[in-house]
Amino acid sequence: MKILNNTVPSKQQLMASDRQLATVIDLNKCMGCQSCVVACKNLWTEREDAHHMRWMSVATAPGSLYPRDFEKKGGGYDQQGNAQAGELPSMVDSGDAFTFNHQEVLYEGNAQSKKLEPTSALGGAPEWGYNWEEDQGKGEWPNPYFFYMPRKCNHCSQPACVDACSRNAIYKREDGIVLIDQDKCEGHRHCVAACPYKMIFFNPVTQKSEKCIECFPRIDQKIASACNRQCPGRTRAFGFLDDRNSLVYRLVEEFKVAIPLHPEYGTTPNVFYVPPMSPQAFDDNNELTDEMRIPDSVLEGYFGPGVHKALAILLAEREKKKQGEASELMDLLISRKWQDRFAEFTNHPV
Amino acid sequence: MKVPYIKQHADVFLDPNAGLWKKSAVGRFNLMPTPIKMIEHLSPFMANSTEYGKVNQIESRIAHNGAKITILLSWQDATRNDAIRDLDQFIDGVAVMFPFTSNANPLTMGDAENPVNAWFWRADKEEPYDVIAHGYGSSKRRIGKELGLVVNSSYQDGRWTVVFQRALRAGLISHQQVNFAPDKVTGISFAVWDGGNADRAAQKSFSGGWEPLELEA
Ligand code: HEM
Ligand code: SF4
Ligand code: SF4
Repeated sequence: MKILNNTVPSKQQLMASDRQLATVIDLNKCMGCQSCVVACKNLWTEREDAHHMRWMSVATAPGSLYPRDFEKKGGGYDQQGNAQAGELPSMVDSGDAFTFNHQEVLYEGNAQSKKLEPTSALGGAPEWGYNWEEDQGKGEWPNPYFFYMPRKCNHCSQPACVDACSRNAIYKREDGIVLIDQDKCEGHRHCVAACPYKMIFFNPVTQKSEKCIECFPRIDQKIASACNRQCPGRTRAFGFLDDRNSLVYRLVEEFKVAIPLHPEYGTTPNVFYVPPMSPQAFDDNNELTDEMRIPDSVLEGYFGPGVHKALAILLAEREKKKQGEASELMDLLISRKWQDRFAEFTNHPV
Repeated sequence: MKVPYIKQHADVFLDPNAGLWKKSAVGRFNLMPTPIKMIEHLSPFMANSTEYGKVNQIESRIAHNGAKITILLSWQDATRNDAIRDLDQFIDGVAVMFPFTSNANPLTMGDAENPVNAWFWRADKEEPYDVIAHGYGSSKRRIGKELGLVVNSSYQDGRWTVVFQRALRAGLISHQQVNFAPDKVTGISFAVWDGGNADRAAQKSFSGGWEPLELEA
């Protein structure tokens, strides 16, 4: 009996896209203000069932980052391209969703006697939370160090999440944005385990998984995604990776100073970072050395061996400026006009 | 297994302790983990799973009253997982599956030409789902109540008991539901998910091939 002729798309079809949108984030300029996070939250996850989700997050590195210890939770591929087992972040790992006794303290005349106290979404006092380790970093005086790590879905070119969904609910749009079809998702969470960046969040109320949608309704109107547009630090570039006039193309492909986080995870991510050029370190006699404060090994741990070349280019170009010479790269990174950063995505939100 | 005709009001069948169930022989079926490598093309990640599908037996009694068929299931599960309290938790469940045609393969949950119909209960839902599948990956949950499927469930002493009931003849053909008729033989197959063991989708234990289901007149 032929009831329905369901054609099942291949993974290749689901992962294919004509073009690829990409974001570049300059870690030298990110000040950890969380404006990008708030912009995203206000637009997409300011819902009772989504308070624990931060599709856009900023955490202090080195640290357990966000979701907590995502780097230890597996997923992605090994060098031979074999799928790697992964774990699911808990509510606490996902930054929790605290509630506060605002009513009691602020509206019932207890402001002099009671303190504002957070309560975990699981009940009781919090164990850990979003941005818990802000500005802690690592290193001993006189050489402490940290930088901010803004993260969102990488809209990978080999998205493990697409590969992991037995229901083929996850797919790439023509522009490379990775989306979860909420009608097809049944909350099995294989995508959550498979994403090595842990950028998929389970909604325990709808029992479906959710993730960054790169503000696609804005993209369709040529408005840059909210996190990118909202950044007051001018850290962000956004556009098609094959658009030779876009800042993303120039920083990633031409100057080769923007590199992905954890390229060894094997998913070919499309968020790129300009690595931090840290201040010079002091030696035992408190004299400045030529060493950078953030150890090379730490940066290599995040961005792979490619970080050394990127940093060398950045330092050389900065040196040019210091000497009073021109540096197109430094001018691009300063990016005086916001319109220069977002290629064709410069419409205003209405 | 034999499905006796028992002349009783359908509501009585929904009580697992009703005396009428003594007239229906218990079927005991061994369950095993699904051959999960078969879904490598749908999810190489899920296909790597190892510790799933540990529930190894299900008991079933089935009876009909000429109008409705009732399926009484029970199995051992030391942990009751009937709510998602944290993001890494899963739900206990059970399903029975039926073929539309003799060609439908239970090991693949049917295929494009040979769909299967399943009744699917989850411990966190009041209502069951009526599922239609054209091969794994294609399953669609439909609200059981809208399709005449009802369920009654209880958990006691480390055992789940679940009772499914539906009219022998379903409503509209367009609803794509299996039909049963006295004197007709069809097949049934069982699957159990242990939420405490992160079972979901193909991570479950199942009974293998079709078990013949003979409705007595
Ligand atoms: C023979 C008894 C079986 C029954 C009664 C059964 C039943 C079901 C049901 C009801 C669902 C839907 C789950 C949901 O909506 O959350 C499902 C999903 C699934 N099953 Fe089965 N199944 C059986 C055998 C198998 C076998 C042998 C495999 C693979 C080796 C398999 C693979 C899958 C997969 C991958 C899914 C998730 C994708 C989807 O929802 O279609 N099943 N099964
Ligand atoms: S970052 Fe994770 S969720 Fe986003 S596309 Fe890559 S694998 Fe999928
Ligand atoms: S808005 Fe910009 S500067 Fe602020 S945290 Fe986000 S990326 Fe950093």
